[in-house]
Amino acid sequence: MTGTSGGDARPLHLDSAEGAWKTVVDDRIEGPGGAWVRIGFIETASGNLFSAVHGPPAQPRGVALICPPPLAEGPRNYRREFDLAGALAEGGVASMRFHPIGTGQSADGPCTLGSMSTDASSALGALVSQFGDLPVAVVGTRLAAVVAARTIPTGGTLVLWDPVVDGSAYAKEVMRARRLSALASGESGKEGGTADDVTVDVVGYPVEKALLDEVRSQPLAEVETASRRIQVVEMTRKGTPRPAVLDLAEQWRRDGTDVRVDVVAAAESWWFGSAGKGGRIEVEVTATEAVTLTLGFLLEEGPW
Amino acid sequence: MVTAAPPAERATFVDSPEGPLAAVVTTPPNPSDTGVVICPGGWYGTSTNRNRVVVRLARAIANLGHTVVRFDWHGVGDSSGEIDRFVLDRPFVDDVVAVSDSLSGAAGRLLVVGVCFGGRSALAAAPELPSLAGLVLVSFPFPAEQTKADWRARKMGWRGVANVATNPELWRPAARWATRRLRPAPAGPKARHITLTPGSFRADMGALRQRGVTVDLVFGADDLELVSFETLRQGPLGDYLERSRPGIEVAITDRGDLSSFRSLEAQDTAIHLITDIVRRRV
Repeated sequence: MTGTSGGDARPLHLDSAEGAWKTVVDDRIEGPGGAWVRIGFIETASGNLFSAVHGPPAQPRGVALICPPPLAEGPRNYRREFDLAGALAEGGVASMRFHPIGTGQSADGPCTLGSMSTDASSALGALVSQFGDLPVAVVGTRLAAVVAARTIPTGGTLVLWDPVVDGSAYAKEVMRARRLSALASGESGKEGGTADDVTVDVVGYPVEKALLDEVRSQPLAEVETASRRIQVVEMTRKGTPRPAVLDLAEQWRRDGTDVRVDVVAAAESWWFGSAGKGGRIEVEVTATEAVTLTLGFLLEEGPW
Repeated sequence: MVTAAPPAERATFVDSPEGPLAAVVTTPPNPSDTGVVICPGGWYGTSTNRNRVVVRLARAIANLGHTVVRFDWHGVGDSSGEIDRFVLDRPFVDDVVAVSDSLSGAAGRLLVVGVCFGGRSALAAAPELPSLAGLVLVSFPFPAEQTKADWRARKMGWRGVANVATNPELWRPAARWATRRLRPAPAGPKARHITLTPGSFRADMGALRQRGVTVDLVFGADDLELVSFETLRQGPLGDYLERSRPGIEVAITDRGDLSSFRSLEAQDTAIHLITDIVRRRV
């Protein structure tokens, strides 16, 4: 195994006001410029959260929490989040990526908006406890936009990548992916998607009915966010943001929030892309423009 | 019901020529002398694969008493490095060897499970794994056009080959394969070019048999890879595979796609099947 470096890779046992959790730092590597990455698990009451912390060589000027989208959308965005975290560290900002319960390397359990929000709070608590009371930014992609908006502390900066603003449309997209996948595999397309199901198999992902209910009932527009500075990055080939996003931005502005909407060209069919040619997941791993835009926004206009 | 992850699960970085690879080691309370490495498929997410089927497989195998490590390919997930494409003739041997070596201190015997491209890389790395006791190759990816073209040429003789040469419908697949072979290497600078042919596969199997290494080939009924494998099994590899039992075994599920795990049922089937193989082989 790679030897740890930097001298502070010992396990950290931290108390949290949220409950009994601790960060277990398992291994750390350091890049040529001194920026470093630590991977490990955060022990929470819900189970172990896998986390990766990216830090600058010196004391950071702020911290950022990166909330991943769940289910099929997670892997599509993973490397972008990795790249963003690495770039932030080089810019003097420490960040944490994590896998919510029921996803990735973390403990088993149902994945809902509620559970993801709890996990995000635990992750942010660990991050802040590790680096001190620094300015905070929270990044959330797709469904995790709601999680990020809930998690951001007062005065923090919020970044939303291709946020889900219409929960009903999201649920329809998920079920449409389910039907298309079923048809492609020779089924009727109606199997496994009844109203009584607790979990629906969507291209190999267990979608909790509770999650879809939450998404439908709690649109992003109704989330009370403590942030007063928001960047929305739309990923679309159309060149213009969705009308619903512009409406939401206008609503936030009326509430006194500074909102910036950016557009990057990317072929993002988040769920349908997971049922690509031959059933293999075709992931657009580049889309570096989103990383560049957010990096510029956070480093130049962030809360630090 | 929420169940916590195994308490002895830890994340680590493994040194490799391509840079540090992110890995998670699951250790049971009283580990056996067998370590298991799970090589993920060739996709760009993480080692977890779809719906973290690899995570669940690792924990199921650890419940049998073996230490298990799963990892991200270089340039993927939490690992360092860059990646362009996954190419069968450029398996990630260095990644497999590095992760396997990291287990050598904890395990006397090694069993490597590889999914699709992971199986291809595991097979290519086998000569460099002295403690290897078994390979489980899930949805092993034979190049379809190549296997068909080779088999047809042998079956048909020169007259048949001449007929194929005058029929574009028959030679186009072989031409496509040859074109791909001529492209420059797209993978990282240290990716090695190791050609995969029916002949090389058989030679690899022979070498493993001589070492006493068991091989289990596992396919789902809906795998694209199964088409290529069946072509070979009905042709040049059929007798050989039959004679090589029980050292080399083949298992095919009734339904489901085990290369992309596009249904929860296929995922559960794969986990049960592979866990049973590990239980039987170790």
